[in-house]
Amino acid sequence: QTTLRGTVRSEQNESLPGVSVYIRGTSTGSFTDATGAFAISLPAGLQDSTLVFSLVGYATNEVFIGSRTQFEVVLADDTRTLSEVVVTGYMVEERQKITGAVNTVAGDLIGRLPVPGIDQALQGRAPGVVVSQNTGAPGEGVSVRIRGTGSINSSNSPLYIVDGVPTMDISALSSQDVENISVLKDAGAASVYGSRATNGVVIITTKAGTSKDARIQVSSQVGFQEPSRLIDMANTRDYVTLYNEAATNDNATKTNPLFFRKLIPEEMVSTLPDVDQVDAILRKGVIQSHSISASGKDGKTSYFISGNYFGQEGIIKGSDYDRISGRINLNTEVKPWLRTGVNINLSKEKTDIIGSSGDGAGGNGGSVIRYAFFRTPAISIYDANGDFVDKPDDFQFFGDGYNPVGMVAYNNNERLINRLFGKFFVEIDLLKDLKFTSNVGVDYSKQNQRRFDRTWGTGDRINGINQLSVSDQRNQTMTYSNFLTYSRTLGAHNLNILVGAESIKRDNYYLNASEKDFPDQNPNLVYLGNGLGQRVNSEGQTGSALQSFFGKVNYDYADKYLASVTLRRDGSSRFGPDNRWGNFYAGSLGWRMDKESFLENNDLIDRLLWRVSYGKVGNQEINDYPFTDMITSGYNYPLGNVYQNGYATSVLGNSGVKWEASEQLNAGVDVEIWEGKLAVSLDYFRKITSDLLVSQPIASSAGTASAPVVNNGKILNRGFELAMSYRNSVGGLHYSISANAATLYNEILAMDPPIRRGQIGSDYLIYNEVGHPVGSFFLYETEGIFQDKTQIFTHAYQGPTIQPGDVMYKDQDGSNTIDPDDRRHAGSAIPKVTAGLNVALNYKQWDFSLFFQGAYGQKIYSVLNRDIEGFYRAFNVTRRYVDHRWTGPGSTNEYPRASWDASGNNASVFSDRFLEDGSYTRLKNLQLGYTVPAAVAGKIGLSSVRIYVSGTNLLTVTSYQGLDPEMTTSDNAKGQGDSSAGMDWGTYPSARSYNLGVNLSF
Amino acid sequence: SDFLDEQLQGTYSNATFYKTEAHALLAVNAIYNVASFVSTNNDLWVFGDVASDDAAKGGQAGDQTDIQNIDDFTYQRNNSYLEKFWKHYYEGISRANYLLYYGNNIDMDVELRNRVLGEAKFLRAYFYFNLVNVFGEIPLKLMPPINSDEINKPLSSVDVVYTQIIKDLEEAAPALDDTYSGADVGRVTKGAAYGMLAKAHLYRGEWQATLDAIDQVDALGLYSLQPVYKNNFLDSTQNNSESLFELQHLSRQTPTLGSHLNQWFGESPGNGYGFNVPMPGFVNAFERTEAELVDPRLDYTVGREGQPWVLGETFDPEWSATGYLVRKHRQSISKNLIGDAGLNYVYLRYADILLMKAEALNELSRPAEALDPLNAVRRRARESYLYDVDLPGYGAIPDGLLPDVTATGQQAVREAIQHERRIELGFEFHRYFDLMRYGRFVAEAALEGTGFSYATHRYFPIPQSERDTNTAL
Repeated sequence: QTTLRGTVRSEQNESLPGVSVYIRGTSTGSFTDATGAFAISLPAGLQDSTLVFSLVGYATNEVFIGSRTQFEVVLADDTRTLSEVVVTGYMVEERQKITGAVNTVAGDLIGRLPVPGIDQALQGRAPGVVVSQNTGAPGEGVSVRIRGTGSINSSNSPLYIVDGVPTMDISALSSQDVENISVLKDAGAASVYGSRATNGVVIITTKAGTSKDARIQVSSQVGFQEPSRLIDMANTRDYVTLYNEAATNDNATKTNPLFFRKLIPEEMVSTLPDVDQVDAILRKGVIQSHSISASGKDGKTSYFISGNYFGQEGIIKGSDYDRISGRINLNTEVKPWLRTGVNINLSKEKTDIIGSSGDGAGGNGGSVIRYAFFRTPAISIYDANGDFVDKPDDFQFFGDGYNPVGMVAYNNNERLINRLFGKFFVEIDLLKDLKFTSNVGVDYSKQNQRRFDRTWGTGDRINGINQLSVSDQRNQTMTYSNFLTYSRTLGAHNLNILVGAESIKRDNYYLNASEKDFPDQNPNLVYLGNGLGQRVNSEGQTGSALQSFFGKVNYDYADKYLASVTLRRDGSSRFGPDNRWGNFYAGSLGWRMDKESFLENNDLIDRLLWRVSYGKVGNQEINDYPFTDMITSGYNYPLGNVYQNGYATSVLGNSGVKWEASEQLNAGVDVEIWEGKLAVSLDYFRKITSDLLVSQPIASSAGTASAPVVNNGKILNRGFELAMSYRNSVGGLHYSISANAATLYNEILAMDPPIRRGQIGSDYLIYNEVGHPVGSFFLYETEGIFQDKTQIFTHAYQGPTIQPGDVMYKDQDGSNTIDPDDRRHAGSAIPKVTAGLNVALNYKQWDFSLFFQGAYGQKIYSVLNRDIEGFYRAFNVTRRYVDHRWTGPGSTNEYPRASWDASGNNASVFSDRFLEDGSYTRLKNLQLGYTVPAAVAGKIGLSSVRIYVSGTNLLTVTSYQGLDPEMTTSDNAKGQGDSSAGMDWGTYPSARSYNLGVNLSF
Repeated sequence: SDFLDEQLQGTYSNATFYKTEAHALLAVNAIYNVASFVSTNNDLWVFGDVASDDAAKGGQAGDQTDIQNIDDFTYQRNNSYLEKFWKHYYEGISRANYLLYYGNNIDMDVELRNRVLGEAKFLRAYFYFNLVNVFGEIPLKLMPPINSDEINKPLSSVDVVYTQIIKDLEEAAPALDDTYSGADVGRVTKGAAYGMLAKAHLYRGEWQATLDAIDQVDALGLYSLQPVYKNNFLDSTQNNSESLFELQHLSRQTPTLGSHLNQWFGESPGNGYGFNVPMPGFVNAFERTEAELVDPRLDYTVGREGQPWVLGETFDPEWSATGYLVRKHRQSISKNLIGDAGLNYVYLRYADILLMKAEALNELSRPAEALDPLNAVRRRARESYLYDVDLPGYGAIPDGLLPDVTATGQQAVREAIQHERRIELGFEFHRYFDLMRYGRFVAEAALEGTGFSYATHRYFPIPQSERDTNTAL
């Protein structure tokens, strides 16, 4: 019998105790001792097996046994497994030699969180990468911003490259399939992706089979979500008191008794219900993800096959999302000089959409959560027959808002997306150092959305005639990229050259149909064809094309002096024939100072890389055909009692629209000291985006056609980014702390004319103009509450109806009259600082991690608070308003008196009264795991088992009073980009989740 | 390269539209679409009625406070009703301007083309007429928004705007047909153009020109008063001989082509919002006989206690703060069609022409001649008793009801005409504009008790959104 012996060390050459060592497929195994040594008896006949070394926090290593008996094994740090090579544009580069600003994130960090998407999981993982919720509703995705907001209107989202195929939407991918992620932040790194790289590039590489033995991995996570932040609302007793107080206040100022408001009789109070309308639409929802994969390498062929499921029941009833996806990655070496393969991801996503943001203007229906906050507690949800109460009898007292529970129950809006995303590739070694690669990428999706607006409510007042709307879309993007890579080492000179061409063609097709007046509202019968009313359908097609030629040269001398140059020429169909082509470039330099003789033998510094890059990248992410006006149907008119079609200009075009471009400077340093225990990267960037593509609101007197896209303005983004990690061990305890932080300064350098955004009614809350950040709120400034008549008399004139108890606004221009000229800039929704902190501990079989994430300095305008603290009609109000409202001189200087008539002063003025600091720190994830010893696992035929519990969003520290400070946008602002972010219409409440998970492999 | 040459699919552009007769008709129909009351952005009534002495905001307390602020003259320039009205009517102008800009090159029958362009000119004049009367000095746009110079226009004086209105109407009139049949009924006619021309001159105090335009209307020989007053407000008697310019509505279409007015003015049990409620002063202005029998026009105009409402039910004064609701725009239809009524809105009818004629004659110091058209309107009102079978006591005109006006002297006749316009055209969205043109004395007297001052409120301010976006202001 043979005995296998050896030692296990870390990359830092430390002995690793407690490493599980076992023979794959058997229960034979052991652990390393305090010196990292092990000894295992090899049962007969197992020479062709594999020895598996695993320790939490390190990458599992597998070594073929064969005739060997002595093993010196090094385990790579898990979070650093990828740091050696980094996938960048069209090539793989050595980490050591990258001169651009690049961050990498390991796949297992991405797979850890109970979130549906890869983009969600990126939050807080890399400095300068800001991830925040869109509306927060299940299936609605997140907003990802790399190095701030460069565009006003055009997309600010990064470009994603999945296994070489570009896409703007990665919602179909499962985070369990991710091997690693590279985030390219500066022009030096990203410019090879030219046209679409201005907002950074996120490169996602999916897993491949590497192990000679087939492996099966299972990971499962099940938990539940519950609402974590809610606003305390008034109860019925308080509501009635407030109603009567407001009516009394208002009646006192009326001369005509005809317009006196009746009081709610006190004796009525005891007969009224007291309903928590918000609670009634919320629930605990199950959130789960399951994934199983098989991978291996058999001779010259490797494979990775996975199936994934993610399911989320939203915390608002009826809002659900689930996704099933499957993946095949298959690579084979056909000839020594020819490799080929396919990566295919198939997915099905289903979203039950409930309006949960905005007032309905942006589609999806108004926010049910908003309606729930509005609905007064004195209205029952159900009547005696169990039907929904809609408009109450005493609606003048208790409001005629919609019953939120009914809205949730009768909501019927489902979106299905089937998507095929993948590529076929060929790699040919033409010469020893010259390789040709051809990628054909396919992104095909089919989307079907059905929405039924059911007739219900008092006297059928809601959707008086019911309607079914069906939309069927098909989107196809084909990407053809062909490129040559040449790498050559001549003495100390290392040279890498890339030359290539890429063509991308996107086609969208849609068929929309609607029908009215379904006699039977049973969902099983609501299909096109069954409606009695008019049938309407429409069809359309849009397309775009992008053609690019690019080249990149990387050169270094003795790994010490590094240089890289990129050139790219892009043509986009989105611009008119005269403006289609744009030229973009970048260059970068690096200096490995630690390789210099004067540092070579120092004990402290392992690595010291200085980097600088400069480049120019383009942006064309706007709608198709911005160069032309569009004249569309539907502006009909009946003549002779018959409807007649009418056509009108609905979109204005601009034939001169051209590329937006950003010039980016990056300077950075990477340091590793104490044998790599401490690693620090610091970057400074300065990015100036010019010729911004903007759909600029035009004079109202130009009509209602949507504004043309113009090139207007220049924006500066600059900031520092710091990433640090420290890892060490004390006894058997391994710990690592990694932190990242970024600052962002955003300013509009040019914008003529300025751009108004954030429309509510006829007002624009946001004013984008020179000298201020993008999305700067432009508001009246409050100065407290008028306490008495003298104060009103001596203050700037605020209108004829001001009473003590009304809000006082500051006369900014000294005109002695409060008017729109008194509005001032009051901050923007762009965070000034973002940060993430990850602490991980391993002790023997146990692992523990904490992940904090935060954003600071951003502002949120709460449209919701304007409605539930303004008290201008029969809407419910917040408890804090009830408790702190003005009731007489000296009572408060914060909340105004109860009055409906004063709404023009107290509620509907867009002032900083409803602007709040949105800064927050969030304990995003806490996780405790236990890895079953391999020997134990082996007994049940498993090679590794880890079980864990985790919690998400367990703690949020913020002064923001709304539902979720992470909220960035609403349905109202869709399509307006970051220039109207940060308006909270009553957003999807943030959820806290508790999960139990298991990872198995065998 | 060809690879980058993507063509617009399934959607017209300026390069493919405005080429054929069909395009011309599609484009002109879309202009009418703006003038109708399909869109709730068409809030002409807020200005015409609520701002006047006839109506209060109504609806629920606290709801639509922007209308309340207009009623009280406490509005700010960011009032959403100013913005909605402004943007909506300018959209109509924009659609007309597109057609007028491209129209001359459309390859089609010349006569038909002239008619279509005439329709566009008429509608442009109509939109400008309403805008200038609400806002006073406004940007005068005669070109579509094809570049920033056309998008951003400075203010033009009221005179300049009126000059354009009159020019458009004078050019439109000869090109328009006298009448239409079949699927063209509802298009603007020669009579509409001359009638609007008369109204424009009347608003400018150009009395002789008013009479000249009315002569052109009368020369057509097409218009007369309906025997029964209420025929002007019924679905069953639309586009009748009294109607000169009528905006068409049709229920149950997709996109909706019905009027929203029945919902905005309707009673709450029928899911109406109950806005634009008549004030007691308006109701009391209706003449009564010694036997307390009231002008029959009152119950055609207003719902009030003890009277039947639109579906025959008894009117409940609890439906309105003032105890009254406006009835003229409330078609008797099923509740499912709330907000989607087929009932048309008659902007200009022959009774208005007669009263304009009376006014112009009187202002030309011919008060005796003015009595004739004035009394024609009163006669029709009282003779409802001869023709309307639904009136109690039908068949005979009650004693002392609406006797002919016999006043002499310009001021007495002027007051009689002003009174008659208020009653006859009540809640047809004209009152506020009439008050304003009567001048400071009449306007301030009528609006006493509100924050109105003729000096500051003669015109509404240009909306904040326009100030924020129009770089030429």
